[in-house]
Amino acid sequence: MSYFAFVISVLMGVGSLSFAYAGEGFDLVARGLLVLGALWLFAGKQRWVWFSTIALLISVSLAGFGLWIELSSGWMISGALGALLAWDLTDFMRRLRFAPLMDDLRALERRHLTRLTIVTVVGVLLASIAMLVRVEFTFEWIMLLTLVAVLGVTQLVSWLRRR
Amino acid sequence: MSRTFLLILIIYALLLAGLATLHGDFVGLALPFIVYLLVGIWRSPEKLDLDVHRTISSERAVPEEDVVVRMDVTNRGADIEELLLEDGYSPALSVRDGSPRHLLSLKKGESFSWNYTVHGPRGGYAFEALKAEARDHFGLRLSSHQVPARSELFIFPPLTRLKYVTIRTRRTRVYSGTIPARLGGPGVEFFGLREYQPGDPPRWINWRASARHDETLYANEFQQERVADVALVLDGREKTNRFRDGRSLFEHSVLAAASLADAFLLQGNRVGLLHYGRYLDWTFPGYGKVQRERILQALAHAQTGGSPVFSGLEHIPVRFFPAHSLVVLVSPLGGDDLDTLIQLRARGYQIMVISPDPVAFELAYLPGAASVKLAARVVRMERNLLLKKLQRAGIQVLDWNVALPFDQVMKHRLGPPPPLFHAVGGRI
Repeated sequence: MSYFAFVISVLMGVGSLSFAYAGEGFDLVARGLLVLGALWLFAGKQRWVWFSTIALLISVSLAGFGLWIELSSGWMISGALGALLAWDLTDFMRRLRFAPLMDDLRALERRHLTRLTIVTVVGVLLASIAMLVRVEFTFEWIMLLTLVAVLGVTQLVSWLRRR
Repeated sequence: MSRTFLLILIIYALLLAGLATLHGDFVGLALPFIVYLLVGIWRSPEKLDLDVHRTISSERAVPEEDVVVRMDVTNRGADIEELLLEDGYSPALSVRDGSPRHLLSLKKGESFSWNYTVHGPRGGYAFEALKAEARDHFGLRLSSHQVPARSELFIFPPLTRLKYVTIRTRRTRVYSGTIPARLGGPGVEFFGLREYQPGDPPRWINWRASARHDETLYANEFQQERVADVALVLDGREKTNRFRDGRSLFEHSVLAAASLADAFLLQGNRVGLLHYGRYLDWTFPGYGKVQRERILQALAHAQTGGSPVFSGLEHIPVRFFPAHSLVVLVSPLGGDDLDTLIQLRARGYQIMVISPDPVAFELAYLPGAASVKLAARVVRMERNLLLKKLQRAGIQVLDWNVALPFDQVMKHRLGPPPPLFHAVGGRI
């Protein structure tokens, strides 16, 4: 069940980005994304958990880049979301491998996928609202985001120092 | 890189990119990641409060016997979405059935129980703690805890029950037992004649001897049977026990020591054990079932080891053994052990050597080539010569070919004398 969801997520993530890039004539990037998708599926089969992190970073970077060059934001969100789900499911499948077969893994998988679906729906909803509203970067927004960013970086630095 | 850290990095990268490019869609792109992170943190596990109880079906087992370990875990804290439980058992044990590890969700107040079956070689094994790892469903936060639940499992050496081991010692203790004490008194075996004294049972009167003398009655005297001090010395030296390809005679020696200790203690004797290997491990002499347990536990832990100090038997601490007691050495023997054993004998100890035969043991694994046979003959002659020298020094030697069962060899050499032997008045 989880592996099936993982395959769907990879196809959704990489497919969305690839479709958007191909539509705007970036064939090389689109083909590269398809290769990334194939590699990601292969890595999933081979249980290379580390590959998912790299693939997630590449996918999010390309989604961000796509937004910057004014590609369809819907496809970009769909691509980033698919990558997030695939990344999550890779780690979940790794954790499931610790469990013996006699455990009720189906119930665990069901609960995990339900939670993931809820988070996805809420995330997409909020993202869609944000895009529909088309947040204008007024001075207030810039101040707020700058404040959040500074606070965040401070927290991040203190967290790293604690570690 | 931690998953939480990666998510935070992505979120801030997107927010900063939005700021840098003055593009609001970046905030929208960051939102699913923010939701994912917040849900993960919101559902992250609190401090674990687990009540763990472990039950072992048998705390004393024999090698390769199945032992069922039952674990009962109760969650006294908050709900746990994903809990990985792993019982900490010794890596020397093998799991035959079930699993020591489980992944589950555990709500507050809920309990989870499971069984798994282990088996293993001789040894003493400690089950220290249960490892518990709690996570949220997204695996962002981990709370790990070792819940103490100490149990012990002893896998004793396989014990061969010996019905009777005939021993003679120079000195016995005051308590009655089964070893002839070379003293007249109450007993079973005829010892001598003495003048009848008031209070002697009339059936002790020897009428035939009394008839030969006027006005004097003679009574039979019997040999007193008492208990003795026995010191078992188990040779755990690497150089005498280890052979090619990791084969070892030590397990046979341990079996012999365990069986002898059991037999001596059953006969009521006071038995101590000295494991002579990498170091000296002395089990103080004692009687009965408690002492049997102590000795078996010491034997369960016994391993071979090499040490330059204890490479020869000359460091056997004789002060541990009561004077004139019986010292039983279980050892394959080396050529340089002869002098030490003769010195021990000269100090007045009664010595018995139970020697698992290393020549026959090693030969069973070697090819039957002519050169091997010739070498075996030479080594066999050397060993026979060593054993003969020991016997000439008054040391009782039992050469044990480990292909034969120990009880069979003991019965043949040190078992009770046949009834016919008694009937003709024979003495051992």
